[in-house]
Amino acid sequence: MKDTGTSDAALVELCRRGNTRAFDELVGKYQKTLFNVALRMTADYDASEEVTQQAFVRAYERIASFDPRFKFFSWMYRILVNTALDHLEERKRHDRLDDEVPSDEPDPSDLGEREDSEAMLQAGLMDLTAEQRAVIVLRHFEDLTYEEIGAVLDIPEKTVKSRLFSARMQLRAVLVKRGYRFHG
Amino acid sequence: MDKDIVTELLNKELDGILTAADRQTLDDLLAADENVRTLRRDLQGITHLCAESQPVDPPATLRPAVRREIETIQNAPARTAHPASGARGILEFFSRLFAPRPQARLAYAFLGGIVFGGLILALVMNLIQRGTVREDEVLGSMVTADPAESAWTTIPVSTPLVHGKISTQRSGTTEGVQIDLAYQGSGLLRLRLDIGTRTVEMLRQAPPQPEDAVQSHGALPRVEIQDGQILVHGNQIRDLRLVFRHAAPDARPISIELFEGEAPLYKSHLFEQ
Repeated sequence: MKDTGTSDAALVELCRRGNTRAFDELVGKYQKTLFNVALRMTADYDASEEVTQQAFVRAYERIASFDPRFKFFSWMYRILVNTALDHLEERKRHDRLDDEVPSDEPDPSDLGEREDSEAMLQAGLMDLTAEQRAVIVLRHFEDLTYEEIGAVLDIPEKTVKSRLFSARMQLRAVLVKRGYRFHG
Repeated sequence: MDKDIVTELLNKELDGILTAADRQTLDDLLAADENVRTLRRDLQGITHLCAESQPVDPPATLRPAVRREIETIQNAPARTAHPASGARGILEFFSRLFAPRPQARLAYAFLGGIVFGGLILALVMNLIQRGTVREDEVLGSMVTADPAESAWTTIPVSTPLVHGKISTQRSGTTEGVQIDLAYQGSGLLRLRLDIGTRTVEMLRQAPPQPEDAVQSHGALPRVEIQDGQILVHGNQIRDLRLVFRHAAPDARPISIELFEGEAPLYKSHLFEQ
């Protein structure tokens, strides 16, 4: 996990004393990383903005209950991933209700100007379950260790490992099914 | 070739956690089997694909939007939950009930009647449910009734707000779950178990402890059994014992989620294969 150092702890302490500028600094520091996690989880640019914003607001509302023994960034990751999972659950419910309406499923290529392989990768990620996607995103895009992923998702390391292994196999299968060619 | 072993070794290789013995086994498998080489190439391809991916800049509106929200929260303390807000709500309800507008009064009285009737019904149903529990008979089908014994699997729960453990045991089509959680937040802790098609054979809660009395949400959590779900509301969930019965040996795991009000705090699965 990224070295968040003591400066995060100091900023969090200032936030707890009501200093909103300190929280704004934390937002500035982590918005890009967290936005990209949300984007990988939802494949929807607008929804990712909403999810990231909501996660920051939730964090601010609960900053008083933050345990300083933990890293702020792990805690923030956890809030973001949970917010993204909530959003996906809500979207699924909404889609079920709107079966008759033309699908509003996000376009996996809605990622700015990306290469085809990128779009294919994102489409493959969206074919995984949200739980599988979360471990892939945290491991491969955020470079978190098993232990850190376990802390973010609140699951034992053993579960992280088995979920990650099966998610990789599943991702490989869906990419092959979508016609992606792996090169030697 | 054992597919599980190959998968595990290749995944370990990707994460850089192969032991020397693993390395040797994997090298032998790679030398002997074209399929293993292909799988390795594909998994490494996924890693490279992810690593090459460039992060996207967030919209410029994100940070100012968060700032505005924070300022709104700062400037509107009334938005935050206040212990007196429930009492104020009741007073407001009664003042509206007795307001000099006959139509509104009738509507409130009607709604109040429905709510009151619902509460009475829920209470009666709850009593009936508890009254039918034959604990000894149900526990007799478990391997052991004591969660401290090795037949039970214990999952520690440690989040910034909730600490404790969840113990599980499966014996044939009977599953036992014991939940002990202490909550340190100020809101209302909610627990949701998605039990699917399982039936609840037994529900038991430990009697309230002296220290529970100081908590503001009542000593014993409130338990609601709905179709496919169990909801628990309360700030301390102590020795909550549930025994389930399922018809299929491959029943889906039970999903367990904790919330502070509507905000998720913890999620896991019980009886995962």
